[in-house]
Amino acid sequence: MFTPTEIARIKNQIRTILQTNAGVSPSRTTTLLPISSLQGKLYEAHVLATICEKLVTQEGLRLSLIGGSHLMLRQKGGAIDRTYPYFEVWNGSNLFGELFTDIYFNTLSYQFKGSPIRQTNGDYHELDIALIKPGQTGYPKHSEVMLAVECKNTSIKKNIIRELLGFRRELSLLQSLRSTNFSVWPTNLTPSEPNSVHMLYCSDSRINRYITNCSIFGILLEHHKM
Amino acid sequence: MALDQYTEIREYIIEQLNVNGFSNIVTEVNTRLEEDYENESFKKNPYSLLTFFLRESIDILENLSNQRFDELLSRFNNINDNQRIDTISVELMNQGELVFYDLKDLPDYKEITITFQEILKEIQNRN
Repeated sequence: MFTPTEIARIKNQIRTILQTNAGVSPSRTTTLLPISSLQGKLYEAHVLATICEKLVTQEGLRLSLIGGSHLMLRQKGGAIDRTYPYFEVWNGSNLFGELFTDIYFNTLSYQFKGSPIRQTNGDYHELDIALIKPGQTGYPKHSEVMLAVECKNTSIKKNIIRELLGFRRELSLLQSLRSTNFSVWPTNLTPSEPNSVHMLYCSDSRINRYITNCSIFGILLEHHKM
Repeated sequence: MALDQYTEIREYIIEQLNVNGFSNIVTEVNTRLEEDYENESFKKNPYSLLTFFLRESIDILENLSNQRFDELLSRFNNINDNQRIDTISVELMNQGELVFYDLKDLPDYKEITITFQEILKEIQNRN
């Protein structure tokens, strides 16, 4: 049992350290967004670095930054815009793909609707990190996506998994196993057509509870701490 | 340590997190608590609740902390054979005007996680 003096000391430690950091707490607003939103972008940058490393070290590809030395993440998704820096991904002398952040892709359901010119909200969704077949413009088609990565620096809830499953449905249909565009990493086989690989990186270790279910649909889950 | 002391400390941490702009940590810990209840692996008693709260708060704060930003830049530059990356920013829209936030300016909550780890250790040692 703690003495009243010890309890008071512990409380004082808690109060002092939190008051000291109150000015940079996640709820504070800097420029236009709360710090918590920007911390999500920092997590995205860490995941992007990991993706780049894996493509190079495990898949044997080569990366080349195009468009400047200032890597820029967007607050909100949008069309492919080559005025922002992005990575070319090379396999020997062949351009294998292009790696973008925060872009929209046109959904499978949009194609099934006949791809009308006037788009509604469900016709496109945002990819945090996407490896796309070379030479795409605007919103790439779901079939042009080779690797789709979502980043969640948040605690896992079942609705996140449901969202993920719905997202997968808009990228491809469940099929028998087929080859991906990759030799080793992230995987050489996926049960989906088109053969895109879909990944979720999450900072909460509880994501591991859902790995086997999501893998049935070709979704790879990774617990990733910053 | 008396059971009501565990509750007293946990409630004080929650109060101070809320007062000082860290209410999202409380929300995140509660989300994790609900997720663990569903798996029925969590023992609902004051000691477990307090240590769970501290452990998960530390984990969440570590993942919000901007540690080793230079190392992050180096990771990109080590595998990119073209132009070096000098900085990483977020582009924000402000009434039609673009502004940029450099991610290197985000805070590091290391001091808080160290303090919480010390308190957690002290409580575990007394149990």
